[in-house]
Amino acid sequence: MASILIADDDPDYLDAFSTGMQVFGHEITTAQNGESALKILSEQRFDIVFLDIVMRGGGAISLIHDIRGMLPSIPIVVISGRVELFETPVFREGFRLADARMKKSASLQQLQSVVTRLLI
Amino acid sequence: MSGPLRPDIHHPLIAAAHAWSRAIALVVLAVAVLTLAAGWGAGTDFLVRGRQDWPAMVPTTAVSVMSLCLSQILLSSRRRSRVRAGHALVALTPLVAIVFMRTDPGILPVDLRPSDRMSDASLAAIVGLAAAQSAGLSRRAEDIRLHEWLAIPVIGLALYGLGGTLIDAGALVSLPFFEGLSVPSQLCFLLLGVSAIVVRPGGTHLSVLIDPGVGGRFVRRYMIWAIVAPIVLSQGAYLLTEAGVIEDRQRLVALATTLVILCCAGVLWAGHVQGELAQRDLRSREQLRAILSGLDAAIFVCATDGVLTPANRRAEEMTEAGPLRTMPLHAVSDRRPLTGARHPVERVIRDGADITAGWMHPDGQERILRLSSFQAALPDASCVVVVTDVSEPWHLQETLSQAERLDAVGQLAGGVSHEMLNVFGIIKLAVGGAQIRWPDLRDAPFAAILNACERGSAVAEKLQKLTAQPAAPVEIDAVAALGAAIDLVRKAVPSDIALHTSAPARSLTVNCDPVELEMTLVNLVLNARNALVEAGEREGEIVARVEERGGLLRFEVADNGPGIPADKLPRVTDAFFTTRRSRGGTGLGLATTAAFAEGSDGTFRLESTLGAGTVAILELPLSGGAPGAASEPEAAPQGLTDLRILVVEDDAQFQTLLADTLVLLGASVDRAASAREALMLLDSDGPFDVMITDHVLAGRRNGNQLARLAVRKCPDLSIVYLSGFRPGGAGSLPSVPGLVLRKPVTLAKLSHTVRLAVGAAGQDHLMS
Repeated sequence: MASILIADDDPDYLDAFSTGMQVFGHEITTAQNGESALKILSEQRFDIVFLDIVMRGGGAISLIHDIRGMLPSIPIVVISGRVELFETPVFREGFRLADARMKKSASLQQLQSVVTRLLI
Repeated sequence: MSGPLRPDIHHPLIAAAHAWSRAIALVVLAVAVLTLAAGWGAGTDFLVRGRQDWPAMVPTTAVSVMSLCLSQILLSSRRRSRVRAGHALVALTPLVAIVFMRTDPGILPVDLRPSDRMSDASLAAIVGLAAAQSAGLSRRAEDIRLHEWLAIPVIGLALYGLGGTLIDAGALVSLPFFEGLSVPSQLCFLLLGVSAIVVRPGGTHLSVLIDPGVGGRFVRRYMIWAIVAPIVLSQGAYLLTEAGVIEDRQRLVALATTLVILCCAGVLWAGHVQGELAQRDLRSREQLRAILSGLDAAIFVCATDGVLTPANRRAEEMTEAGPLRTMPLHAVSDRRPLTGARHPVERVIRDGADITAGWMHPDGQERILRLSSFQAALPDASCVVVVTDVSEPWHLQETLSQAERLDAVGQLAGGVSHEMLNVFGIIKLAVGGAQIRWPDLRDAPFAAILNACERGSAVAEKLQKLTAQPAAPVEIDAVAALGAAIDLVRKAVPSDIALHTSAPARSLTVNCDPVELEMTLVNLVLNARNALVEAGEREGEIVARVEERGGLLRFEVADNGPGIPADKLPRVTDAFFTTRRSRGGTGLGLATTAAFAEGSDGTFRLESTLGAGTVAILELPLSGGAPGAASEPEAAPQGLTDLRILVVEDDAQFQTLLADTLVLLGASVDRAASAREALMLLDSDGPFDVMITDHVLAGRRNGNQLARLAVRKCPDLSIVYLSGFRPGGAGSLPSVPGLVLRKPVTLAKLSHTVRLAVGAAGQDHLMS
């Protein structure tokens, strides 16, 4: 069981993610944008952070840098609905600091296995 | 010379004519003044008559000659008042001459002999010269060369007088008409006659005397011999008979023979010279033709009578079927035939404006021709008509607008597939949660839902990859790529066509854009299919093969279709060459394949045997790397601190990614999703150093139009265009200059491009 922060601007996805991960016994906190994610991170301790790379208002890449500056060792997983972006050089460069990359279409089991892999 | 030259003061012949006629008139004036002042005035007998026993040039003649010299000079002036004075002098001179021709002034220091009188010949010459000078003033008289017809008898008269005086002065003056005609007068009349003709040289025969060209030089060099030789010959013959060397009849025979020989030699020589000139002319014509044949345009010379002559090879080819005027041309817009007065050739000659028209080439392809004409300073030509084949740019323009539409569709599809993936993700998460929470509901249709989601995501991902911007080259397995392409295309090949593949068991790696390679292979198989389907081949077969041959990776797509005629084979990789335009072909498929091969350091060619089929061969260099590895290590990006950048991109995700990356590089970034937003930001948040804008933007204006407005607002703004078009592909040039940043965008390329755009290459390397 882990405490997880997920930042995504799609409330439906947040809802499905939280409900699903709670089944595995994880404690889920959600944020709808980068700013509130940073604020929550400064107040609370988490084991792992999931970030949607493209949120309205932007700033995902700098958000990763900010998180890394604040919490150098916390595992960060970037999630995206734009699989084709995974292969672009800018994406690869920009998200070097992330520990894993997941597609938005990943199944609950796949998400769970990432969590397990990063926490053990 | 074909027609009279208009008095264009800048024409070399006209300029020379004015100079010569004025110079001659001044010389004659000087002779007349000298005769009058130094001869009659100071009593120098030599000046008024030359030899003691020759008649003198009487003062009346000298004054008349002076008057004619002055009128000649005045009439060629450009000032109206002087011309008017010239007119008066011309009219007065003959009258004065008639009135005073028999008058002895009686105040002269030199005594007039009884024989010293103005001859009838002189009076005739003066009247003739005055008439010739007047005739040169009227355009109509000049056109029929009246001034020459009037002046030639005067010249003949003077020459006869000169010859006569030299040979037997006594015999000459014994003729009543020539009685009293002096040598100075003869010289003056001769020169004034020449002057009266050459002042209006257009069309006259004598004007070749003053022609600055080759002809003029020739005449000036040899004319003197034409005058001297007969006189010397005649005089010599006369003296020989006088001395009793030959007798009269022999003299006649000798003289005639010599003259015949000389004239024949002259004619032969003239013929020879003319032949040489014609040869030279022909050579230069051929040279010009050879040079013109190097041009892609067909060039026709339109003669003054309207006849069009092909001037180069392209023009001859174009008119093989018939003359240009009757060439079947049609309107580009609706293909209606253009004939009669609406025929583009007639219109381009008449109006001079460029005209675009369609033409069915004998090879069955429609060509788009642009006709233009220009006035040329060519002898016997009214204008030059140039016909250029503009089919390529024309089709390019049409295809570009289609490509732009497809680009928009692609972006839309990309966005939709993104949404779909999110939706499938949500469903999968929800179902997954339910599955674990209620394990006893295992029989519920969860598996079916998950399966459907899996399928849906796979389709959406495929769509996304298809609409993705070109990726950077990576090491990929060619065997797998061929397999994937065949999987994609298998459904599009009818069941009666057999599709076989042949590939080695091991993997062969190649370094290129995976999507492009896959698309290229799909394209080749589809081409083979089209050939088979359109030929109605019953036992059609396509074999797609990949192998290593000679250190190269070789893809082969072979069909047993009808094959391609040898004359069309070299053209099939030309852009827009298609035999299927009527069936929807753009003629870009094989051209794209060739471009892809070239861009990946490979080659592409077709081999074909009529009746036996066609083999498309794509050879790419093998690479040693492991599949999936990026081809080159990334160059170090440059820092962009101190720069203010405006990012305009309507794809929210790409905008975020790009803007975030720029922020990471140290720049201060504003974002806009449309041209309208960008213009508002330029007003409220300026000034910016660089604006990075996508070519294609949602909304009313595209990137190019935005750049135009933005630069008008902020002249110092540098523009960087984002483009998804392939490198080497044709795109219209933006009207505002700017660097084009082609996707895929690497960090280094992005930073260096922005630095280059602002014109200051930063030294600090960031990303430490």
